[in-house]
Amino acid sequence: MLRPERMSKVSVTGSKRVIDDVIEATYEHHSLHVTDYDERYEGFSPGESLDGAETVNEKLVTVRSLESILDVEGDEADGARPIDDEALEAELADVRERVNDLNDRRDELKAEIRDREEELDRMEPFADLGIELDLLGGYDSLEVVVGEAKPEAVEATLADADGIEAFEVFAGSDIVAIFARPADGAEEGVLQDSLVGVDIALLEVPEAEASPSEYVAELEREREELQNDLDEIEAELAAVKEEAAGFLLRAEEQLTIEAEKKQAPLSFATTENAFIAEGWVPTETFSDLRAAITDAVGDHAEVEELERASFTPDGDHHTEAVADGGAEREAATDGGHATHGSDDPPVVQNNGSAAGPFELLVQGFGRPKYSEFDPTLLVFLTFPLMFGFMIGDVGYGVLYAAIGAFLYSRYDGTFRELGAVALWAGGFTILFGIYFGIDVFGYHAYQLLPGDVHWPVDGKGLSPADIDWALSFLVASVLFGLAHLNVGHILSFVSNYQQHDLKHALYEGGSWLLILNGAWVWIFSQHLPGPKPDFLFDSFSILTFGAVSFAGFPVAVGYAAIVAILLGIVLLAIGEPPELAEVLSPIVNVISYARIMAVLLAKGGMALAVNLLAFGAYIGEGGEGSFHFIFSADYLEYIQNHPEEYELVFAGITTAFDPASIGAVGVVALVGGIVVAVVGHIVVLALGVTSAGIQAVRLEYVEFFGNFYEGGGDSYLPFGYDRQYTADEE
Amino acid sequence: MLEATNELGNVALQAGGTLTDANAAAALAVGLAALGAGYAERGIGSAAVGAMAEDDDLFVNGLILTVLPETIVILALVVVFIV
Repeated sequence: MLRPERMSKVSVTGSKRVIDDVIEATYEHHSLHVTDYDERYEGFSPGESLDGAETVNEKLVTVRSLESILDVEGDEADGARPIDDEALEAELADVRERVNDLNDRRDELKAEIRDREEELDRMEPFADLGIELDLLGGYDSLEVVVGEAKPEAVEATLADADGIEAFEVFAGSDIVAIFARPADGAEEGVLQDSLVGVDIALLEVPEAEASPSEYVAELEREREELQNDLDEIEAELAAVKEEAAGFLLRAEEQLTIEAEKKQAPLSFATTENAFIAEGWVPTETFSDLRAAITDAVGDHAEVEELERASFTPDGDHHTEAVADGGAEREAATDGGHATHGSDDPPVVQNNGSAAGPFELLVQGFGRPKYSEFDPTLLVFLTFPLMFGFMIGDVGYGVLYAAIGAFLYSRYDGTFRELGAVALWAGGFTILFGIYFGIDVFGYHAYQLLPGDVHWPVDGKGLSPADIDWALSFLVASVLFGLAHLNVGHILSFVSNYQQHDLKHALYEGGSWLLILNGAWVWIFSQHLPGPKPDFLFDSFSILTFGAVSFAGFPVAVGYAAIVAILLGIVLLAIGEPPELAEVLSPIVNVISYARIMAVLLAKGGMALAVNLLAFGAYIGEGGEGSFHFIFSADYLEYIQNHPEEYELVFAGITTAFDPASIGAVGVVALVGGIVVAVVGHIVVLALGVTSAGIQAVRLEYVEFFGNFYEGGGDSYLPFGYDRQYTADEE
Repeated sequence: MLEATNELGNVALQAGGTLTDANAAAALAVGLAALGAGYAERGIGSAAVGAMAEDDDLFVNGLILTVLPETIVILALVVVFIV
């Protein structure tokens, strides 16, 4: 479970005469992850595509471009059925002609509309100015400038300018036309020169016969007409899409399959008459694959298991030779087994159906390498636990599980896996909800049980009465973190031991284990009791309902722990000196798990606040007990009359509703209170995902994976295709 | 300047009140740690969103990096239990 599926490297060697059949059989079997040939064998060159690959690719490009023009996205499929090559060709030509024609016209219309719009942009300011275009230029003694500027600024500047004898400014809403008579002897362009200091965007005066406003009106009319034409074309394209989408999807799939088959030899090693294809298959399916190929071509091709990849790193002394190697290998094609490369096998994670969906969370960080432990099982064992503990509420748990069940049953792929994760998380949320006193949306439902039940767990630690529980949950979180990190470091120790040797394992895994456990054993020991708060030790008795009382490890154990820490630091200093800087991380990372308790309190507190607003709450035992909700007007009155016994926190919104005398205010309060409760709980539910979910994922990714996990494996992409839109012809 | 600061410290210590109350100081420590974490996440978050705009696959990395500084607050919380 902690390892991916075992992979075998296989080679398929055969005569080129049967290459088609071998490809067909392998493709059908859909299990061989073909590795590219890297020219490592003398006399073998990379293969070439089979005949006809180019035509298939051309058609595929056509189909894909048509799909992109028509916006075909894949959900337009109209039932899977086979499609034969001739029909495909004929229909493709027909669709292409229609679509290209419509598309050309659409492009033309769009270009024309764009032209009109540019012209409009140019003309609109002049229409706004309201001066005929031919009046804006062509004077002997006047200079004219049109631009976007503030008229006051222009006037102020020109009034002070040298070389301007007189001027007048005509202003539209954000455009000005400035007419000026230069002083005698002033140079040409004096008007523009004197406007240098003004914030003005100059406009060129367009040449047009009509008056600007008429011209603008005409342009708008033309644009309107063109737009209508364009809409018609779009509608026609939509009709074509409706008709042809199913066909295009089928054609694309068919052609993709054909193209993949035709291009397969590109990753083979070939000579003039023979070929070798190498790749990985899961060891279990190897004999099946061999049978399939032998069925297809008899003894014209030889399928052989070259090696079974071991989980320790690459290198000859680590790989296990397959038993039947020897003589058969020498008989194979010349040079075929000279060396095996050091390429890593692709990774097929193997976690069964329960833990399987949690591969999603692991892959979020990175797919495991073949030589690494696959932590999916451990994520499966801890993620729902942490999530459930943080939310701990039957009501929310049922909702999460319901959302999960919905996703799980309605979708495929990622959403389905997400649904399964949500189902597990919801289930544990329900379990912990029961633990915390059958909490249903923050209400301790155990009070409804018959008889005077005293629930052993007082609550999440929100009320004055159960503050000890809050501290106990803090200790529980930290102890969980300690256990979790120990698992991480042990895995690191084991994998270092398997990949290198005991020395490395001691330096890289053992040192951290010593520091981690030494530090925390010391913290829980009686050595130097001064700064250690009492709750560290009291919690054990609270959490076990008094069954265990723990006063801390004896002082001698404390000293031993200090020795362990020092030993760990020494090992680290010898083995990994740069990591000495992180020597405190075993303490820090464990404390980081305190967030579990923090989120528990925060979520519980939010649910409490929502209920408190809606239904009112008091604290029993004169303000020293726990929170209780009020719900009814009668009860509120009773509470208010006994202030020495009950400390009222908030009267609540719905408690204004009095069934004895139904008044308008009461009904409004009832509705308002229920709205507050519903909206509030939805917010808590959503924030539960983002805080509990993200914090739990973070503990896995940062604190836990950080110890032993890198990720970055190759995914297993077997040669073959899962048909979705087409049916097989057989 | 140094003298003035010194003087201020003396006054604060003599006058007592909030600054010499251990609980208040612990609360202040947590608050400041939270402020620091928030400030750190501000930069990381914007960089992470920028990176995600380039490449969606960086979502998880961005998420991890963004939540890293939160631990500072949790570490500061330890102070509350020790005083």
